[in-house]
Amino acid sequence: MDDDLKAALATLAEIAPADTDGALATFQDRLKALETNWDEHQRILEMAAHAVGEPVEEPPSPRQPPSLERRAASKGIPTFWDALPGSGRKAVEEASTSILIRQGAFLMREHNRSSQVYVLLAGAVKVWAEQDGEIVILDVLGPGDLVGELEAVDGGTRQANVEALTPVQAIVLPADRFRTVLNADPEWVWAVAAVLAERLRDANELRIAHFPNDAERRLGTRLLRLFARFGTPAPEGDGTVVDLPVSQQDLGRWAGVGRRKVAQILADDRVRGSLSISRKSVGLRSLAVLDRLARRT
Amino acid sequence: MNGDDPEADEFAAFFRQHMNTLRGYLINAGGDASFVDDILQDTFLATKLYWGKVRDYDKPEAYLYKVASRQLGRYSKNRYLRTEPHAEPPIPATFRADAITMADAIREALERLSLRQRQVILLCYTYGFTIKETAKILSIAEGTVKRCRSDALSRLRAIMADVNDSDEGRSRG
Repeated sequence: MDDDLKAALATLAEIAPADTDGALATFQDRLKALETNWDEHQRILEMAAHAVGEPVEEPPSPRQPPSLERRAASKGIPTFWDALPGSGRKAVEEASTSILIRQGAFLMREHNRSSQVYVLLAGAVKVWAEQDGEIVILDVLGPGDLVGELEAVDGGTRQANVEALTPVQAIVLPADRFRTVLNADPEWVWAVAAVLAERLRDANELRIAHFPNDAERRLGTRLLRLFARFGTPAPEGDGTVVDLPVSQQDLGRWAGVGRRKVAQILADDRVRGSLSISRKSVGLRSLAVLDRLARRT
Repeated sequence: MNGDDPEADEFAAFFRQHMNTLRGYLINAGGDASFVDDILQDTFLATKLYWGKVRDYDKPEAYLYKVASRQLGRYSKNRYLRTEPHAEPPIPATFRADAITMADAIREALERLSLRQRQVILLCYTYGFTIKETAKILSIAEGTVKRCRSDALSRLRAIMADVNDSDEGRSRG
């Protein structure tokens, strides 16, 4: 009986032949595509390394919370870390040291020349400058974002303070080493260009909303940015929440709007029910409100 | 192939030689047509990336089976693959004594084994790998291969006997 079975099993090897040439052509196309698609390349490489029995690259280490990273990517603000191909990330990580920064500490100060570049892995930082005692917030950055990119590119002095809003995990390296590492592959330099382009776009957006003076639009786009980077589904009920200590005053300083004007806009009937700002978080019921404020609808 | 790259030519030959057999293995092991070709492509891509190493193996094709088997396991975890035997399989028309060939019957019966049993059986008896090679391909111990193989064989025998019985019963009644 067993011999019967074995003989029958052996016949299974014969199967209707598939289109070998077509498959080979597809294979060659995909092989070519692999040269430019790094994520795909990484996936295949992992598969291959595993089968050879070589140590497979660690799955994303706890230093880069992938959920946070993906969240930023999914909302449409491309971060440096997203734009950088896998091999580039690895090279930057190898050249840098990892640090923890406590809440309220400064990653960098205005006007000094110390040139370090940070890539945030978890947490949030506030980028701000001071002018005659008035504080202007330039941006709030989160996981995957590059900090110190301007100095890394032009070697000038610091334009702003960077303060940790929450405990922050980051990797840090000197600007010149950062440049050396990225020089290895033009593709990687484009990741920096992508960051600069994104920030320039945002700066333009603010300038556009300054003339004619449109405070609602400035505030709306700031809030959209905040939710795009840090928004998480609210623990209870519907809506989105940003767990960062951002006050109305901070929003005003960011949008170039007085605190009272912020309060006035937020108290408006169209906004009041859907946006709530408390000491430690900002809650949002529906994005439509922000879109309307930002004149996107 | 344009022939100016000997390594690429060598790999293309390797591809032609093994593609159909590997595809047969994936289908026999329960892979669905919708993803068998994806696995196939991924497998050859992975092999190409390590070709410098793999080409020197005694049996380079074993590497293909290793990569592909693991992929198959992944797809099955995502429930694309039937790993659970059908609870009470209806006896299909092909089981009529006059219509069946042994191969068809075996294919049907294989579906009722677990994925690992199916893989072990196929690798050992259909594709001619030794126990040692099968163990390496599936990343399991040789003892496990032996146990799986004998379990699967007796299970297959039971299933086939079952089918024959009910078939006879029907023709009598």
